[in-house]
Amino acid sequence: MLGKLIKYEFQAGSRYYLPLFILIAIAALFCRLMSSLAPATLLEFMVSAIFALLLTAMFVITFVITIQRFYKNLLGAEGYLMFTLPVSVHSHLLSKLTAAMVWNCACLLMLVLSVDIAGREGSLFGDMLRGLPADLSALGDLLLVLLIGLLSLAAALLFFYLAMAIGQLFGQQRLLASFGAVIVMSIAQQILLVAAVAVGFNLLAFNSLLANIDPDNIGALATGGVIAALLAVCAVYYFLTHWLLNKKLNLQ
Amino acid sequence: MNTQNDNINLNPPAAETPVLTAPPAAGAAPLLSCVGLSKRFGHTAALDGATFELQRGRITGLLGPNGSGKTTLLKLACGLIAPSAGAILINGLAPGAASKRAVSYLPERSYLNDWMRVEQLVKFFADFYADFDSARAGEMLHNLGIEPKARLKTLSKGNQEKVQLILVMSRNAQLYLLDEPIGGVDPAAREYIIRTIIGNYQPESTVLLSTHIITDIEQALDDVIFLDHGRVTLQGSVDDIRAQHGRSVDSLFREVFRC
Repeated sequence: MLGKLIKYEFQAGSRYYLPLFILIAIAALFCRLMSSLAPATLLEFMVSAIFALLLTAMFVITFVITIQRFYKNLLGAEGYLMFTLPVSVHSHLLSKLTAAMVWNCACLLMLVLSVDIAGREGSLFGDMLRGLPADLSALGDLLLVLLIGLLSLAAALLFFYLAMAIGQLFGQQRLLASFGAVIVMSIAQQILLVAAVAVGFNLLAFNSLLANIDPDNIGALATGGVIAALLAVCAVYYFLTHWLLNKKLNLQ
Repeated sequence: MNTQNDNINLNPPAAETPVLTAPPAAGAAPLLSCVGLSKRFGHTAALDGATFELQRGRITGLLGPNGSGKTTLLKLACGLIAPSAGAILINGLAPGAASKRAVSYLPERSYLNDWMRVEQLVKFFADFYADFDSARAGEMLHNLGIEPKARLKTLSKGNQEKVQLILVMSRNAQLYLLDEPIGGVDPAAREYIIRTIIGNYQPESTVLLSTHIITDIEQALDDVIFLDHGRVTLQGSVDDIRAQHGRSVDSLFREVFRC
């Protein structure tokens, strides 16, 4: 069932993203064409400006669609359909999360590729590929960075999902309540982060743990700590959202 | 329609067992049961301690004026909202993925992805519901002259409602929960829909439909439940009510809910 949900989620998303990607690719091609024909004309400047605007719009649109797919499809009228399917809330959440993560990553890739198409010299994507480390140990580091990136994206998405799941508890002002939840959760997150750093620092300083750690391992420890913290944040947001949609669903 | 369990819990005839206290069929939980089911929205109680059971194989009308809690009751049965107190069970299960497999629900509002084509929606239902009969859906669409290639949003409101009803009735579900299935369509379509509801349902399946337009549907009903301000005020078989009150359910409804 999860697979079917993901399939329909991609079908719904591709209605927006595919035309957007095609538009950006065309704009990038125009940029390239202009700059190769007659450099530094007003027209070239205008085409580049439109291209930059489209790239910015892509990220705004991606954010709006990510929010809208969850809010409209699960918590709006379409929620009547989705929540009467014989499907678990886990499947709903995972399908939304998977599709949103893929589309968000696709947008980043589109950014890199379209800048490559538009620019005359060099290739950002080529640089990235050339930058890939040759030996396996360094490749591991790269994968860790990628993992942190993906976990941060998941945490950000789940943050908004949780805010909307809280917002739907409120009868009339659901959208307003969702915004309120975003603000309150942001503040709570900041306080917890500062507290965690302070506590962690004090533990390290007072127990002189820091002195006992091999300097070579500090990087690995920090990476591990960041990954563990991100995983914890994702888990908390995910299970709170699941609980709210499973036990406290309140469709209008 | 079978006529066993023709019970009425308002002054039940002495020889018969009231539905409320009837023991469940041996080995099987009642298809749908509510115990002290309540739902509050702020200070108002949409449902207030509703307790009843639905027997299998019957068509029950959930009757009450606007705001009496009909929609709330059906939404609770589907798990779209959570009860404030009490419980609602389907086959002995609280609403969840398992209970939803047995229930085919028609909401009063439009709830389909309106950017999809009708045939895509048929595919969607077939994908998620193992008991969905695509051939039956195709036949009903053809009978009502609805173009499968049309996008839902290009259809008239009445035709959109028909598509919803066709999708819901094309399942071989144990329990059909229909919220105002004849509210927004013209009388000719209304007749077709009522025939569809009766014609499509298997002897073992059960229908609970809410409405306040009783005249058209009365002949199709086996049982009725009257809801008033979130309370069950009357439950029984249509035949018993007619015999006891000497009049149709429609005229009884008009008297009970006189404004």
